[in-house]
Amino acid sequence: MELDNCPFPDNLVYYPEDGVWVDVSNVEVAENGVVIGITSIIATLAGKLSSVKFKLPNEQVMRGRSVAVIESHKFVGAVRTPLTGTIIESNAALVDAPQLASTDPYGLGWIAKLKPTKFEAEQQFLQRIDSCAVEFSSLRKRLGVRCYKEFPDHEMYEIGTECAAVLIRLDELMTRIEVGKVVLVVSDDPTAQIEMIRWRDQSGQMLAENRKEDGIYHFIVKKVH
Amino acid sequence: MSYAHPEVLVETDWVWEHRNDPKTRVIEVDYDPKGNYELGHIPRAGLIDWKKDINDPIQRDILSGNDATALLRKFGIDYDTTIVFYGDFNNWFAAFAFWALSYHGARNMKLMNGGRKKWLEEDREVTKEVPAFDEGNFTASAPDESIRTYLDDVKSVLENESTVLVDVRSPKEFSGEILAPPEYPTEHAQRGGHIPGAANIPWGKALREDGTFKAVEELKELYGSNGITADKDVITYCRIGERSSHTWFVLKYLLGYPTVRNYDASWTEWGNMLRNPIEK
Repeated sequence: MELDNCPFPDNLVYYPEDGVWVDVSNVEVAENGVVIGITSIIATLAGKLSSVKFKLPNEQVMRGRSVAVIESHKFVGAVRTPLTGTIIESNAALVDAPQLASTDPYGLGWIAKLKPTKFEAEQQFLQRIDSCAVEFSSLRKRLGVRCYKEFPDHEMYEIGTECAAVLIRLDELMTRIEVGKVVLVVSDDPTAQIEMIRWRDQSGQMLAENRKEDGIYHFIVKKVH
Repeated sequence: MSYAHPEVLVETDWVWEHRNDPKTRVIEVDYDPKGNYELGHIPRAGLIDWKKDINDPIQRDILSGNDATALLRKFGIDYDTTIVFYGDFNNWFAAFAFWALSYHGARNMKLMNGGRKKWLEEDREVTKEVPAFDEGNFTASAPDESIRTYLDDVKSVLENESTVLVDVRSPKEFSGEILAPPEYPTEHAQRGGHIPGAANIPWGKALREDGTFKAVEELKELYGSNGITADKDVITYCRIGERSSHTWFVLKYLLGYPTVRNYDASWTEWGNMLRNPIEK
């Protein structure tokens, strides 16, 4: 399911209070336990991650305590488990590539595997996405998060800036970043959409997304050459 | 050897032990409360939102004395209350609150070493409950101009050998290669570079990897080897005056330098003024 462009896979269960997902499909299999990760809303709120620090395997973790601390240039936050249990394994891939938890939070970017010790009593806290869509929608609004098709590496919030000046800054940023990097440009200039399409055609860069919400324009630009 | 004024710093353990002490008030100071305080904070901690609470809503300035009185009273702060600030970005904005409220006469203030990040990494208890406090009786006093400086003062001491300037921005901002850090592309000045003669010591160098302050010997070496010594009048600045509050805190309290002033208008004033001298 998608909620306001933020994906929530149907095969997982969720704990909206802390913005995490749990894969309980293997909960009966002792050595697998459950998998815990962050949702698209928390991933987007945090921005591209620069580090993930884990608890050690075999550590007992109470429900509501953290299994990891995630960090980006603008965010530090705990990933809290909704289930009490013992940590089996943490996602070692995130040590070298923490950004996987940003770009693929439900797949390669999982955080930790846990053997729940109070599953019978605590599974009531977990919900399918169709039962907690309202909570996630309000969480998204409260946090002011917007999900995009491509995960931004850089963000330009240009409110009250004339479009020509925005484009000068965008051009300047483009010279500094690598091919493949993604820039979010947010503008309230009424000419922004026309100007961005013209900029795309002139620069040959990719305009991956172009939305207007609440009178504000949101563009996802990808450097392709 | 300990810090010159060790009383301005408390550890996470101390904060946990004093969480129910009515004469201690813990306040989280965030750049972004949504992604921090609102996701869970230290039990019974109040919130200062730097943009709303420590800045004047109309003109470019920090909060007024009346604002400071109202703000601290709202948290139930009396004259004898111990105030502990901590926050996001390794206490960057917590240090700004410390400085801005010092200017308005608040006393008994401390920073929690390591800030919000350390509290989370230690997996200590947090809550989403927002506490309510009975109104306190703190009243701001006349501004303490000994810790703040302004454009004209900075200009007048440029040639003065007894005054040294510390630019706490990143090396690329200092050199003028970029006008603002990549994560704040909109906070530009018209010109890049630095105030002539300034030493570049990025604010984060005063911290260890875990966000706590380095030991006093390391701090002495860091600043002293760049000519920032206790016998000088020191002026700190950055882009908009917050990061420099952090360095101001280090020099004034951890190293005990007698004269340290924050030029909070900083580069967004200096780099925008007509005919201000700039070094690259």
